[in-house]
Amino acid sequence: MAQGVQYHLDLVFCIDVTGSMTPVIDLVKDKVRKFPHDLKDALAAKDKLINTFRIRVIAFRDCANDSDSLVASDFFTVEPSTDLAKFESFVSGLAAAGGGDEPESALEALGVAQASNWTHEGDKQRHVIVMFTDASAHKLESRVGEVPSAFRDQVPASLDELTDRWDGNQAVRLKRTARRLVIFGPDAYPWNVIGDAWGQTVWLPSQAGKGLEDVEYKTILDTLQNSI
Amino acid sequence: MSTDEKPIHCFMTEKRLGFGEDAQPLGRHAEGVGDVVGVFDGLGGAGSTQVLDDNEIDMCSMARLASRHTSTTVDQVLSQWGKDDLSGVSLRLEAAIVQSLKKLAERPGGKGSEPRLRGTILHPYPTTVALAVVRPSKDEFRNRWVKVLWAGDSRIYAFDPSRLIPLQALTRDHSESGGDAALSRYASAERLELDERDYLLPAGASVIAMSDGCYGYMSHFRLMYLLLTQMVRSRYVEEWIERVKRAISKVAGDDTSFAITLGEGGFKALQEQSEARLDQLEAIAHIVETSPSNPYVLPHDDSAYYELLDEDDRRRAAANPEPPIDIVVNDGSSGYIAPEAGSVAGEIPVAKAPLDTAVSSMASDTTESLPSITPSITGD
Repeated sequence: MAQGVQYHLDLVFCIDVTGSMTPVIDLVKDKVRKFPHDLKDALAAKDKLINTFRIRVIAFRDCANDSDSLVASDFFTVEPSTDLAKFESFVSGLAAAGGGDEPESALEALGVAQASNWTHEGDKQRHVIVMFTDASAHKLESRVGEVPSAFRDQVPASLDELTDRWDGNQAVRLKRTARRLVIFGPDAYPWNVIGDAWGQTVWLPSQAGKGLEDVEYKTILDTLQNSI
Repeated sequence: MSTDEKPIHCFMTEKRLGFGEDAQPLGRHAEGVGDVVGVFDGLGGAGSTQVLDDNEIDMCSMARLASRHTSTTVDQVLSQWGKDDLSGVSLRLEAAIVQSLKKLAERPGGKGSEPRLRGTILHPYPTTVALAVVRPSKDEFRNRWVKVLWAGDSRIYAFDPSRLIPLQALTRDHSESGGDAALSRYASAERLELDERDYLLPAGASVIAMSDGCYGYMSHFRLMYLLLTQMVRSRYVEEWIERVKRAISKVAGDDTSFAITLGEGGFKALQEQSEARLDQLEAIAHIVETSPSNPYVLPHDDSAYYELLDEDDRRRAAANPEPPIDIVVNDGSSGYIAPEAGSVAGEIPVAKAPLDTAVSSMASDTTESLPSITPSITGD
């Protein structure tokens, strides 16, 4: 077993909880609850020791239609498993409702995720965002002023700014060398832009991962664990 | 160098036997070209897609296949080059490697069974390349002329204990922003652009190819110190290689591959110089940090700075005794110590014979030109 090198892993789930997600929300919640265990197993199989593993959940709807359009947890520490039960309870409490028209506020959620209090502990970190949505997203420019006040200073005004944060390492604690993005979202704006252009991204074009096959899931896990 | 001593040596270890993404290192003398050392490390993240293995039965990652096929391709190109003039060899290698990886991608099932996945992490058949061609220069000083070709974070080093800094990198990693960042350049079925440098080294300098599993889990100083200390403790070059393999794989969190071509004077000359150099380095070795959070320091109970450790560190040191070396593993092929079943980090192969017996047995295998170290797969 490798001695010494230990990894500090932060994972932020962005989950679409609008009404259109009703048919798949339970599947997504199951996947989210299972994901940390599967990733830990995959890392253990490669002899990679996780020093700390924290998870944050951001649930989103539509800033123009829903009063609770963005709900974000703090980081739950799941390794050591101090907050594992709290994390699972938070996920279990998510329910699909609202949303209004089809584009949703996923980019706002992505902005909040980027602005997380990412770990800089130790020598090797990974900052992973996983997005689950069945919809396209509103342009950020079209929703300026509608972002809930608690998150307003965390959400950029355009996709370009969001991209700069991701690939240019600007303004947020997100570490360029540590960043990874996994998208379970449809072949529509902005996922077809981000999935093909942002660095260190894996995208499964789908309705929030619906139809995700075991082999695809394994490849995503392998991609993450091999790049950790 | 004694007439029995082979000039080229290699080792490779896998974290999970049969699933490693480092290819067997390349270490051979190519007629008309020179000594060749090279390592190839498949990119596990970018190449994680599962595809049919060469045996068309098992599944393996694109990364695993990419590194093995690239090693074979490089071996073939250099074997057939056959001329002194290496201008154009970089272009030839780039074309041959990409063609070979493309062939893998275009075979039935070569893209894997999950072609829905997109994104900028995944690439078809990605692998690093680090390669050195070494031969005597034509000047009166018998210097060693070295051509270095690489893409990615596998490295070529000059190792010369007569120098104040005995280990110096001849390559510069292609990573987005250094350190732990994603690679900005590597071989794949889409493209390859090799970086290229030429060097003139002293006749006694050795040249080493290493994958990141060898150097990535300790500081540069620690790696240099490890090569020197293991050398002065060894009686033969094979023992040194085995000691280095064990010491590195014990702390590595990754597959490792390593190939060296010894400089003029061989092991004995290196050893004499190492003893002198260690006397100087031991005086400063103790300044390295020994806090438990430091991933680069693993104090051993016979380390030069043991007496300077506090009680906690001594306890840690006691848990990591330096294993005695009393065997050499010999698979019968010249210059190559093959990984055995169980020969992964932290595990020591079963003793087969006392050292002297094993070494004299290896010496009797010596031939003038080293055979190719060809992975057990077929190239294009």
